[in-house]
Amino acid sequence: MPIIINLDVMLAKRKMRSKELSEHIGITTSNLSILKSGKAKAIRFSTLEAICNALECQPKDILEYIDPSPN
Amino acid sequence: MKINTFMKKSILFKSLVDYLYFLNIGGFFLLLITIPFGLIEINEINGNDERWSVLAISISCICILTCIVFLRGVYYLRKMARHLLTHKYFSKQIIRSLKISGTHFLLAGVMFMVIMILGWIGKLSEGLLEFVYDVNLMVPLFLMIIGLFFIIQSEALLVAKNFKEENELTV
Repeated sequence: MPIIINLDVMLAKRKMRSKELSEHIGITTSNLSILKSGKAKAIRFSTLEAICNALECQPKDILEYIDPSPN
Repeated sequence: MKINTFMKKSILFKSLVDYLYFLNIGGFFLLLITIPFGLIEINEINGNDERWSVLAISISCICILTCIVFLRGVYYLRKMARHLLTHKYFSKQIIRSLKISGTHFLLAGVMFMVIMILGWIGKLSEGLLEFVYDVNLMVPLFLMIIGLFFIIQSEALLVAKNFKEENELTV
C-alpha cells in the first residue's frame, strides 16, 4: 500500500512507548501493533485525532503517501 | 439464545446431509455390486429390449456419471456443514466447499436434463412423439437452481469475508 504509517518515528521523537500511547488513546496494544506494522486497512478519524492529541503532532507526521510508480 | 437455535439448526442440517450422503452412497455401491453378479437382471429394467441399444448404454453411463457428480456435491455439502459447526462462518473452507458443491449440483442437473432429452430422442427414434408433464422434470431444474444458489451464496460469503477482514483491520 502506498500509504506509510510513521507512528514508530513519532513515538521515538516523543520518547513514548507503544503501551503508554495505547493506554492514552484507549485502544488495545494489538490494534496499535496492526497500525504500526502497516497491516491496517483503515483508520478512524477519532483514532487519528487521539493519536495526534497524544503525540502533539499533525496527521501528516503520521501518514505519508509514497508514489507506487517511481518514474 | 439465538446462537443456540442456530447451532441446533446447524446440527440438524449436518445430520440430514449425512443421511442423504450415506443413503445415496449405500444405494450406489449396492447397485454397482449387484449388477455384475447378476442379482439384478438389467434387461428387466428395459423390458422391451433383448439387447441394449447404444443409446440405452450411453444413457446408463451418463446416469452413473450423474450419480457420481451428485454424490461429490453432497460430499462437499457435508464438508461445509462440518465447518459450519465450528462457528467459522466466513472461513475459506466453507466458501470453497459451498462453491464446489454448487458447481457439482449444477452439473448434475444439466446431466440429468441431458438424460431426459436423450430418453425423449430415443422414443422419437422409435416413432413415438410424446410431450409429458412429469414431476421428474422438476428434479434437474431444482438441482440447477440449488447449484446456482450455492455458487451465488459462496460469492456473497466471499464478499462478506472481505468486509469482515476490512472491518477487523480498521483501527
